[in-house]
Amino acid sequence: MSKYRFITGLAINKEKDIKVMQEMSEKGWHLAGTKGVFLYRFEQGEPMQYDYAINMEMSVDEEMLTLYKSSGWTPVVAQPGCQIFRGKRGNPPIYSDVNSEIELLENNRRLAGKIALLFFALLLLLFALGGGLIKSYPIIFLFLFLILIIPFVFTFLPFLGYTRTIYKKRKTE
Amino acid sequence: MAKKSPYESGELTDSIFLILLACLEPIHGYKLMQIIQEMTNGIMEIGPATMYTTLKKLNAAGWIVTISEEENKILYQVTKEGHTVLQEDLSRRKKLMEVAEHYFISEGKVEGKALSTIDFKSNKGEMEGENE
Repeated sequence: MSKYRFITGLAINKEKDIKVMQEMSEKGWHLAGTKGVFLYRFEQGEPMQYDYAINMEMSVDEEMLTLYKSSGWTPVVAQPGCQIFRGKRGNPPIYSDVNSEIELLENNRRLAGKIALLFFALLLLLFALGGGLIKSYPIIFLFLFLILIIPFVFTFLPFLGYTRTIYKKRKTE
Repeated sequence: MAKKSPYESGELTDSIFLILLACLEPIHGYKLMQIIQEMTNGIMEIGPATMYTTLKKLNAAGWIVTISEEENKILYQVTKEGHTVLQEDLSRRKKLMEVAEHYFISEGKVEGKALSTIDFKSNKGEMEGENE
């Protein structure tokens, strides 16, 4: 049997998700993976005091996972854009240097920003040129609108999240 | 506006400095973290995420090269350019130490009048007041 929880934080507030994972582990439910883009999957085991770490590299390779494993972090999720690791409580943090973390966040922020901007431009284009469609083929208009608004929201929100995290990290640096 | 990155300025962060030092001989990534921890007596511990991004950047800057071995294992080694950068940063760090030794340190201890926290806070308050 598995339990599921919504993925809420990630780019926007990963500390929140880490806390959920820690509390689930204390109750004996350990993160086992994700289901789709919205859910974390937990499986039952012994209650444990685990720590979790989330990183958001856009690509994953063997070398990366070796580095984590040799410093006591076991990969649980290793997808492009989202890697989650489990370790003993009190394991040293995966980023030992704020600057290297900010660099990655900035790269991701730039990428998310570019994609969001592209879809925003396409949305504007749809409204400018496709206005006639609303009356004649409202379904097609709605379909095109959804196709464009979904990727916009899912890149614009992370863009804001990255911006906020970077701002917070700079302040504490 | 933004601060120049160490890869442009050559002014290395402690992590980069130690990683370059440890890469003078070909070495595996996972060994790097272990060796840096050992050689600094645990004062500096480089996390895997920091290690991974730093190695990638050092490689892109041409300061280290990767040598592929069998079983997907990768060895890292400093290039000539990396060596020069390391040497220059070493001199910079030495100079900083000399300044400190010369002006502020006697027998391994810092000398000079240190402000207590309370003094410091009240001074800071005044300074901020002046800025307004």
